[in-house]
Amino acid sequence: MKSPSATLLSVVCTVIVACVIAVMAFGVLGSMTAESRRVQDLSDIADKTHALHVLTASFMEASAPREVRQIQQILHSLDSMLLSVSPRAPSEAVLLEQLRRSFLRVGPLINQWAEPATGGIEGERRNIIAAQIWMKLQFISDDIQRLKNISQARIVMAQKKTAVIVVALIIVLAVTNGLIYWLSVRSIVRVQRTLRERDERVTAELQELVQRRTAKLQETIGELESFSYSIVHDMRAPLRSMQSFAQLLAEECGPLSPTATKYVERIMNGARRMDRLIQDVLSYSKVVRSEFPREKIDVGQLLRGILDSYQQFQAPHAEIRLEGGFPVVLANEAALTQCISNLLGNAVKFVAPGVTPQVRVWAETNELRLRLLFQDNGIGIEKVAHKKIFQIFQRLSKSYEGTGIGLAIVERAVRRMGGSVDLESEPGKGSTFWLELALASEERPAPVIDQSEPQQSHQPVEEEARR
Amino acid sequence: MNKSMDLILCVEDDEDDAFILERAFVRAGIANPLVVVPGGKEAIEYLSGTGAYAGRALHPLPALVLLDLNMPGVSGLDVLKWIRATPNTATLVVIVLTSSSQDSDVNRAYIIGANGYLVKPTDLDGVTVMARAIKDYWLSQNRCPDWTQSAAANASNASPSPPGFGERGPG
Repeated sequence: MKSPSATLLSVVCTVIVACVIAVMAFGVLGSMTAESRRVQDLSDIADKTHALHVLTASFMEASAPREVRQIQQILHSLDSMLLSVSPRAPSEAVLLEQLRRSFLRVGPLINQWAEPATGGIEGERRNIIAAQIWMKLQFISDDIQRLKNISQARIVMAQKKTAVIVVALIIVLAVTNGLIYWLSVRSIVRVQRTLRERDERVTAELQELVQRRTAKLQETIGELESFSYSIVHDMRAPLRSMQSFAQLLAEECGPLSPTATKYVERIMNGARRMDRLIQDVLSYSKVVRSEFPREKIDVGQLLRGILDSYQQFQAPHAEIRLEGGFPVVLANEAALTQCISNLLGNAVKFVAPGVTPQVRVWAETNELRLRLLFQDNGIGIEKVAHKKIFQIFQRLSKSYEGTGIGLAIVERAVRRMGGSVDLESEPGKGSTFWLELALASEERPAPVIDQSEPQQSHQPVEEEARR
Repeated sequence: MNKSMDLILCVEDDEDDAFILERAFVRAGIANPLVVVPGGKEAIEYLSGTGAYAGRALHPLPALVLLDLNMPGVSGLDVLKWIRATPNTATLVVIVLTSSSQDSDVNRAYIIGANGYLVKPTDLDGVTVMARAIKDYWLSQNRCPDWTQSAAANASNASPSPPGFGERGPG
């Protein structure tokens, strides 16, 4: 990645620039220290020169020889002090040399002056010498002052330089910090953008993949559907032959022996069973793939309609009692009719031989859901089989005719309507099946019924696919 | 209506189904002659009076066509398309008689111009009930167009497109 290396580079640059500036600052500070030391030295020299001045003045008044020695000592030390001051420029060297020479001259002049005076002319000469000494000392003081001024100017200069360097350092640090900040912000933004772009790309790829797969899946489902349809319909043609020719044999080929009649009947029964199986498979596949738009349904009305439609649910074939009131639910009418028909059909079918089926139907509700219960006096179902019976092609007994699809249809259909089905049963004690469905509340408008939905038959499973 | 020349053409590739249909027609008391052709190609030959079916006197145009859909080679829908695109047969009453109850087949058949769509029942009694219904409705109640008139009208009209299906003959 580019951005982190750029940041690193800028950090390194900052450090280098800071080091260079620091070295420069040290250099300036060093020269400043040296300069101030010189100023100190020069001040010392100036002080000594002043002392010399004073001493010389008192000596000239008192003419004390002890002071001459002291003056010579001072001059000597001044000379060595001047020697220790190193010149920093040629002009300075000249000045220092001049200074030394002046001092060197002061010594003999003092000695000359100190010689005992003889006569008036001698007094005159001493006065001239004194004047010369004063002048020299004055020049010396001036020169030292000039040297001090030069050094002080240098110190001011160095101070200015230091200030400039510090300001430059601050500016450089501020700029590089800003640069680093800007770079890192930019790199963060860039990283964010890259991530976002990658996110978008991945999302787009995923969407495309999902679309492609969905399309493929739909294609496969469509193929499977038409495949199963054609298989089912092709299966019905030989069935028609079996059934019809058996019937023709029985009815048009003269009186058959009782055995032959029995066989022919078996052929026809087999064909009928096969036909029912095919129709049940068709209606199961319809339940699996159909949409079930929900609407408001009066369960009581629906139940009475179903009971009226089928002889098998009426006396003397069965006693079915509707107990209490029934609410309005949200369901699909065709699917709910199928569920109820199948449950009632099972309730009246699975009874012990010779027993009249008795079925009790009632509703229990809470705030949101209806439980519609069907209690029968049938043969009952073992607990271990309770889950199994809702799977397709599961039959518990061979003594009862059936295809093992009815409850599978109930389970799928009720689940597709957002409900559930369950049971309580024990062998010999009958069964209670119940459907759970959402109640239709007044606030909730019933969804629009899909008109494109093909009209479904309100018949029990056996009748469903006969079109 | 129920003249002896009003024959019924059955296009059916399954011999058993054709036989069962014939038996059911007999049981339903349908006296009209029933001609069975074993495929789409033969159906077109019969209706155009060519091949094995040359000679209109021997093989007159039917009053009613019972058409199976799933046939190898020329399918029932192909035959129906041909019938509707051919001036002489454009107004023939064609009833699809098939084992397919697929919505797509039903819709396509009606779009192409079927006059009815019947699904074959699976037992002889069912087929007999259906044959009786055909007799009662298509052969007794329904008025079929007179193909000779409609053909003449087509010839004078010189219109290449097939005439409307609701067109009625004078008969």
